[in-house]
Amino acid sequence: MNKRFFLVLLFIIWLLALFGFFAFKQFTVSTGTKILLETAPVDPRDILRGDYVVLNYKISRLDTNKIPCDTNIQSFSRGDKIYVVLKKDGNAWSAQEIKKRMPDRNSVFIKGTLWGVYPPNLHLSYGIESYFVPEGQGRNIETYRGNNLAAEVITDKFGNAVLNKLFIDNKEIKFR
Amino acid sequence: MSHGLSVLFFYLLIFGLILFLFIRGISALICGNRDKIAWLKREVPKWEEKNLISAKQAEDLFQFYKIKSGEVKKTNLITTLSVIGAALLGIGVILFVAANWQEIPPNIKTILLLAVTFGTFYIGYYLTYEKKSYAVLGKSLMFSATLFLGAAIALLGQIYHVSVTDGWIIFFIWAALILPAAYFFESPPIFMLSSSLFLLWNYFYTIGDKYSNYYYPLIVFILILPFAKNDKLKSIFNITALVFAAALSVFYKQDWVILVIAAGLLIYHLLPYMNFPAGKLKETKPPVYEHFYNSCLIGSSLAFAAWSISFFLSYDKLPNYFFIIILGILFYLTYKAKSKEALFVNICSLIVWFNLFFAALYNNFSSPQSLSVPDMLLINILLGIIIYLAGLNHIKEKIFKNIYTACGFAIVLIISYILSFKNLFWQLKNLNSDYIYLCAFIVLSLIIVYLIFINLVNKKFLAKTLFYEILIMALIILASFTGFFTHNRDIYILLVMNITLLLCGFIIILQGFEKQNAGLFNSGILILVIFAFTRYFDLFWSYLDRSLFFIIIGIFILIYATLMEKQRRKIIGDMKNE
Repeated sequence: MNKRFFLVLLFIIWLLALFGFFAFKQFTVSTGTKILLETAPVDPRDILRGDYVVLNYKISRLDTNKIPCDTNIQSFSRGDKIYVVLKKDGNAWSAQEIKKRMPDRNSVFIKGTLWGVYPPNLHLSYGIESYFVPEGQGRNIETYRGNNLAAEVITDKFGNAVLNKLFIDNKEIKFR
Repeated sequence: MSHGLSVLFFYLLIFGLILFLFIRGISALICGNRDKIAWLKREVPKWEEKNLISAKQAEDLFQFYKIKSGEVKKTNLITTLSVIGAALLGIGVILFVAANWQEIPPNIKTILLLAVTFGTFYIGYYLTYEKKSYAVLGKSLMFSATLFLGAAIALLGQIYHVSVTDGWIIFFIWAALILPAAYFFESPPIFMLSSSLFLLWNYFYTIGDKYSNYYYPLIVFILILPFAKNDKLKSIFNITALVFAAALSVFYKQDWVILVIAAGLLIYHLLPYMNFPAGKLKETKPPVYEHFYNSCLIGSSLAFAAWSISFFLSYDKLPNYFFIIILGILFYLTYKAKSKEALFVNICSLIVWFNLFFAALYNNFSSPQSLSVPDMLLINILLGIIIYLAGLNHIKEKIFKNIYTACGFAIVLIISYILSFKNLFWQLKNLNSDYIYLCAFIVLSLIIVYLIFINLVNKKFLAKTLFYEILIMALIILASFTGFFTHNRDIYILLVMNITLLLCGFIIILQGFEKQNAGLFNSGILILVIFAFTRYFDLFWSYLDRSLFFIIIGIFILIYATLMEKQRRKIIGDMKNE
């Protein structure tokens, strides 16, 4: 086998991997349901991708006394995958039910990873906690800490989520 | 044309200019010289043939241009320079992505970046393997392309806002994708980049999610180390990275990850034993490999030491009996491989293990009282003496002997210095007469007495320092037991530790004399100076105490000096009489 074969092989591997990464996320974006979640941000920096805003959602901390859960909370442990069924509550979406098993495909739900169990509260992350912004522009968003800032998230039929847009006072944030 | 587009055009122009200068500079560096030399090599024989120059002149010409020796050196410089250039170029592109500039839409940005990545890699490939004369430049372009690939992955992560807590995935994908490029196209920089990215992946994975990452050691053992064996830099980097991963896991009490790392490195060290008859190890293995296997042993010893710490953090009431066996095996292998570094690491891990073992025993058997620091220090000083005596027992391996004695001596010196401060640790004036300490003191003292006996029988002590060494050991053993007989042992221990420090200084000076070693002699003087200096400014002693202390020691040293002077005169007198 000559080097040329390896070159073509390597390029195919690279393209497939990059396309896979792209397709995995784009599948969610293309096929999923758009939901609006309420947030509270700060502004750090990633070494490869630059400035971002940390978003903390109301559904990041769930009180099992208020939201029904299909499993006993004591049986949960860190790292568990959990599904949160969402319902539209005015403009934004909020948690309706917590499920250990994947819910019915007809309902809108999001998949989260449990990183803390503090009965009766569950702390979850959904992989949508960072919003990347152009350099130096995170501060502007930070001033809208509180109720004005909302995130548009797209969830697919497996519960995977992609963070799509940010809204301040119902107006989409654009950087130009 | 909008403002944004003109800015983009400007940046592209600058970027292109830099790229052009970079390629031009590098190719001039390589080809300029290479071409001239190649031309010279071609032409000189022709001149010789046509009698334009003599054979001697031709040889002189070759020598003048240093055609043989000079070439290698220059190529190294060129390789280094072009790798640095390629790295800077790649970092520039990554930073461009990180700036998250909005003038170009994300999809165009992705396509552009992919085109640049594949294009650069292809040009690099073309120059290296098809055209062949531009190999160095070609290889550095391939290296640049692997950095661009990272930028492309980061860009996708940025576009889809992949959460920073899952940021490790970018490092993993990047490292995994460029590793085959390092294999297929034999590129050391790409290999090192991939190794570093795997390390970063493990780091961010561990600190972010706090889960055990078994994949990392497995990847290094299966996919990286077999290909790094022949290269010192690659193998040392990856073994160090594994040890780093083990150390990181200590903080998260991931015992099993550490054990996998330690055991894997041990297996790597044992590989030559499995292939060859053990006795013939040295003759059969090539020298580069020997270095690799030695590094594996050191790495394994370090990882096992990390494991003993992690084990204690997880089970603080379970004494770690398992480690005795492991340590035994490690010491056996260290002697077999004659590895100085591994011996040092294993002596350190013996001390660490002993302390943790004792702490676990104490937690298990004793009342809820906390561990007594002074008693632990006394136990360690006894351990130091044992290591020193064990070192004296070595005759054949002189380097091993020196490592043991130096470690033992250092322990005694450091601990006696700590304990020589009045009231620093002796606020715990009450004795801690727990039977568990008594047992430890008795066992350790018995070992010391046994070793002293063995060494005396075999005459391993240096005649001149024998008296002082025995005196120190006897005093320290006595001091450790005072707590069980008297209620103010602090004063005894204080005295013993100060005398020990003083005597340690003397021993070193005497050994320096005996072996005619200026370094040893000066260290002895330094110990005495530090000792005097510390006592002079010691806050815990009253002025009167200190004044008495200095007067007594001064008188003691003067008497000693007089005795030595007398002896010297006697010897000279004897010589004259003869």
